[in-house]
Amino acid sequence: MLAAKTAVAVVLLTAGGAKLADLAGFAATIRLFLPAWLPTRLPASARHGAIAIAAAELLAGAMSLCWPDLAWVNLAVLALSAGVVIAAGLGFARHRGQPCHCFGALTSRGFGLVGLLRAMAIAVAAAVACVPLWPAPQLHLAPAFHVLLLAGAALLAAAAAAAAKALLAQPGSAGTAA
Amino acid sequence: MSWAIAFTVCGAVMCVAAVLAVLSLGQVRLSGSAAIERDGLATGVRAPVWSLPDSAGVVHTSPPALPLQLVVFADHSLKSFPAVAEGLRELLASGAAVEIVMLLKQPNPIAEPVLAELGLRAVSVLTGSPRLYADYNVRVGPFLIFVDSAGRVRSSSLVNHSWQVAKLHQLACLPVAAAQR
Repeated sequence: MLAAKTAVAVVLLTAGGAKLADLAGFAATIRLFLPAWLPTRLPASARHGAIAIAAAELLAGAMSLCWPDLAWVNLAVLALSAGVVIAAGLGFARHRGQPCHCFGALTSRGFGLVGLLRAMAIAVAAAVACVPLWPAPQLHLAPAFHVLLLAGAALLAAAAAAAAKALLAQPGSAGTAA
Repeated sequence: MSWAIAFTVCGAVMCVAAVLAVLSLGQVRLSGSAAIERDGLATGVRAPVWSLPDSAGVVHTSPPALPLQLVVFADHSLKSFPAVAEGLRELLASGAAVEIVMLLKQPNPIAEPVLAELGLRAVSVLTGSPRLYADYNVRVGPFLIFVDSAGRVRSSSLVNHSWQVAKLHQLACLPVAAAQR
């Protein structure tokens, strides 16, 4: 359960960091799911949505990793993962092959069966992390551990953003310059 | 407390593993042959601005005074690419209004004699730097970049054949909007 929780947190941090480096690309993906009239009335809606989702992933990943004793964070991560499965499913059904930018420029894979299965695996891991154990493990971390894990989370998000940005800077890359 | 330590160790190890995985992924994708094919600068973007003297002390600048400047990223190893040298000779012979300069990554005393041997005496040899190569996003040569007098990249590619030189020149002569399509 703890391994599943950590793995999902690491995936969220990587995805959030990489998305922040390619907000324009991820906003283009969001536009695929918006009703046609919305970008006309609110031109920045997709970009704001991209920022919100990337920030939510980073926040959920960091909270899940650094404050493992907060049970509600597990539910928030599960809800986020369920949203990813729904988006992957809709993308698979309606926009197959279109770049999903789920991991920014780190992957050029488009919506497809592999992406849907990956999203489902993440959701299953998030669900496993929600299962209460008996006796409940004592996960109240010492302040030094919080700091260590927070530093690890920040390092991972920064590395994902830097790698995504480097890949994005290449001419002809799958991403879109922000 | 033991659970807390186990979780912290597990979390820290996973973070480090993920950082290494992400950086390795980036490294692999940036150093692969597909990535090297995409080296250089996209058409229409601003090229680096510089001013460098050749061996005779004549200062060459980019953006150029002529309508087009061909920056050749190579060194004495151009001798191993006779077809590219032939393409450059053909471009010089065509009388096109193009300034051709060879930009070295580091000082190379044999580059100029080799160019003379290849019949490319008209090509100015300039000593650049690894930093300047990085600014042009060039890692492997011979690489050609055409820059216009406004300082914009008009075409760029890794080259192996003489026809590629001619084709790049043709692309460089197109309006920027058409070349970007």
